[in-house]
Amino acid sequence: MRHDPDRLAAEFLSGDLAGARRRLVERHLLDCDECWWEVAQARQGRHAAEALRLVTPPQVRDRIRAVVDLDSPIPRSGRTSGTVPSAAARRVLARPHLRWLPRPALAAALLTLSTAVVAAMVVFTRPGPDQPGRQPAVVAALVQAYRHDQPQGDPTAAAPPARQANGFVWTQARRIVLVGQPIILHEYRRANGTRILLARAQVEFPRATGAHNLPGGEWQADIGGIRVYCTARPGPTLVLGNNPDAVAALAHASQ
Amino acid sequence: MSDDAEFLRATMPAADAVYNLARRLTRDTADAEDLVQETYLRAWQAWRARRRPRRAGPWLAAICLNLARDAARRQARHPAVVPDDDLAGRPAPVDVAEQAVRRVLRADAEAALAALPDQQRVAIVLTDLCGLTATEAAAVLRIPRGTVLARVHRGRKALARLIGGREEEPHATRP
Repeated sequence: MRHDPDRLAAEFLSGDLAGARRRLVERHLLDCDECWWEVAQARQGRHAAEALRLVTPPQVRDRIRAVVDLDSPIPRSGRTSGTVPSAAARRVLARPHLRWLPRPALAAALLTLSTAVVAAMVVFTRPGPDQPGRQPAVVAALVQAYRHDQPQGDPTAAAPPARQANGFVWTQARRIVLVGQPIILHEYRRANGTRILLARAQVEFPRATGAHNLPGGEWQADIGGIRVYCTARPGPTLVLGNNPDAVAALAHASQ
Repeated sequence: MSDDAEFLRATMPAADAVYNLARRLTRDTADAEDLVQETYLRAWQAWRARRRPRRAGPWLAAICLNLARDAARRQARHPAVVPDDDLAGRPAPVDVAEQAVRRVLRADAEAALAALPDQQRVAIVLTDLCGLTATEAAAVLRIPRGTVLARVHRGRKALARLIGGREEEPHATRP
């Protein structure tokens, strides 16, 4: 046997040696300080490396399952035709807007984070009478934000685009990130608690599926009973609410 | 069993391996999580196209590695390791002092691993952290098995040196 301590130690620790060859190496190790030291050093390094093993966090496992769910054929999730595009799955599950979704307190009892996202996608991407086709991820996420009515993102000192419109009064602005896109979300409320959200972004909002064109390049859509109104003046703006008149009024008041 | 259930059953046991690899190929936890997700998405698409591996671990590792390399090329940056808040979510230690020592040792080991040459680090991650055999790692890296063994061995020795475990005398550890 050619004496090569590096190679011998590497082979020995690989676990692939067997039978007579392994016994031969073991006998050699007992007699050879150099090879013994090689093995000892490598073992120490291996232990150090193995100690760094990480366990996959639950949210990552959820994201894996969500990707498979989202990218599965439609009948499994109750839809009737087509599939959710892979790119959409990637965008919707991208970390920025997952971070501001609340995690369930009891994993066993509550839906997981990914399930919520998947459910939202299923709901907001399912073709329906007032929502033909699927909605772009940003639009779907904003509709979801409107429905949930829970504070998201961080408060910001951004000035309100309009103080009030049709009895809806500006209450707060928060900065959120949706699908990697920073958005200032202004909230307006009426005394009875109903509200409107006005989203301002730096880039144009994708057009909602089934949207109707309006003069001036604006459009509006009704998604699950929520009016979505888009204008580009003075910047990319999306207004959402269940009061169509107030939504349009606020969209114009903010210009 | 449905196709997706079968996919998850076959691949989820390898999630830790993919996550460990992704963490060492990206700059932070968020990037690693994205890489894991992208890896599974590609794997799922391949699975649906009837490309089924014999073993999920090496298959996913190869996808993950290729994605990381593509991303690195696109962004003209090199994969790097920046240990961050992985320990933050762990249970509170009973023995604070002991836990502090462990944190220091772990941080040292992370830094040592990050300091290794890329080839040695990847070889060590694939074998010691992901649990691949030398033969499987060789297939993933498309290099001879002997080269994997050599890189792993050099990397392990370097790790031992970097964390201060080098013995002054070769025979000092003999029983």
